[in-house]
Amino acid sequence: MAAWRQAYDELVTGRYPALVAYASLLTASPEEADEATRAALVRVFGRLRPPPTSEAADAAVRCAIVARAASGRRSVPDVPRKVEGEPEDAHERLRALDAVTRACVVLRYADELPVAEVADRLRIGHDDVRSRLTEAGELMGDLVDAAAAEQDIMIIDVRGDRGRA
Amino acid sequence: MTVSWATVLAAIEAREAAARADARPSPALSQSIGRRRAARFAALAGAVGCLFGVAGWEAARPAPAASAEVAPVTWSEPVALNIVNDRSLSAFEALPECGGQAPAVRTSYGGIGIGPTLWNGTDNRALAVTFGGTLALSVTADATAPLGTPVVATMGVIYAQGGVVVGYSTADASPVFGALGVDALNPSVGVHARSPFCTGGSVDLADGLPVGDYQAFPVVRIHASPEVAAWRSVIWGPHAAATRTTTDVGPSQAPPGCQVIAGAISAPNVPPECSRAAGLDLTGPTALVRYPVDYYTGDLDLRLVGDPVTFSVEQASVSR
Repeated sequence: MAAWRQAYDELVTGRYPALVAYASLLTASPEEADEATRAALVRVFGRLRPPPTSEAADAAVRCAIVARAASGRRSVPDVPRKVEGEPEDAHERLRALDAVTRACVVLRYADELPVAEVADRLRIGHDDVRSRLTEAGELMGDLVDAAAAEQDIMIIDVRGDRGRA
Repeated sequence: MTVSWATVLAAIEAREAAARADARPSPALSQSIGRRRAARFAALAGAVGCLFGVAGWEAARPAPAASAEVAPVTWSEPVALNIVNDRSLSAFEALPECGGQAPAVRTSYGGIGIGPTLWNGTDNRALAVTFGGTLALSVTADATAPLGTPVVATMGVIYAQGGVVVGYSTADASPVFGALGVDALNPSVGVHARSPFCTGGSVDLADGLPVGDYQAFPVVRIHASPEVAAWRSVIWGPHAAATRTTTDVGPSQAPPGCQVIAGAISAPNVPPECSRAAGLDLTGPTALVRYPVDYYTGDLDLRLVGDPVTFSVEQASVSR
């Protein structure tokens, strides 16, 4: 068996659900998450020299997912940016953000990259990253403490009485 | 109870992973990858044959340590970059003149266009906004444009009052490299209180923008030249690959010895640790830089001006 195929099988056997789950943070629908993951696998393993280990492949696929999810989709999304009514689901609100802002949130808070690294990865300015993180906090509505959104750590209110009259 | 963003994202991720616990890609995906790899090997074999048969091997180029699977970089002739005052990556090839007329909006030319002006990611041109934020645009190209041309898109902002230029800025504007019509080109620029303002016919950073209403005109420069290609190699390409992970190429394609090139070229006083064989000589204000030949296919220099955003400064931006 070719080396790339062995690494590919090892990755998709053990990590495929996790990779799609990661993609689901960055995309607007489950279908897009599946598509982004498949495209990233083709991009990474289609190289002449694919990553030598499954760990390296996992990181490379995640990078490719981010690049695909963020590329060319800076405009306002089709779905409403402000979700009206209750109850609210954090994932639905995340999906209502535009793609680049979503990528900023995931890279900063899920991958714990510094703002400068997020800016480098997305090829946008540091200030743009900060304003998008702030915007993300604001667009999360009552799930986010808007004041805390100005800081690196944002607070999400999940009080038990949310949704009640 | 409060939880952090990280906790929320981890919970979403865990839920999505659990919902797909048994998911696997279809066998057709691995077959697709196999076909892609075969096509790339065939293309590489053709390229190597062409190099030997027609142009000959570039003797001065450092031999890559990578295996035969890595496509070799074909380097250009050296380009002289003015590392002190080069404007290749600036949105303004010439700085706007204080007191001059505000730029005319021009959102397309020769098949190249720009999308709506986004203020902090939202298309709200009609709103008067509070000062401070980010302008962003997307660069588009139709079939009449030179599609595939490697370019850099950089953005600046011109401030105007009553149709007259009163300041400008390129704060936080990072150059965006890519192929026209192929890659996403989404430049942005910061709009800050401490923007240069025209005082007595010249701009003065210290003054900042006085209280008042302004229009911010986004200016996008789409530029291709040998100098742009050389900067791309230094910032995102092989020269930078030795020290960064977010580059166009992998570390194996970095010229040997280029360990601090990106830092050295942005801070010329830092001693470079790069051999001249790699094509970089930082002994003076001018750096000689080679670039991968596919970074430059032809000249292009176009400036487009987007729809302005109206904003107001409600209090003195800088204490005097």
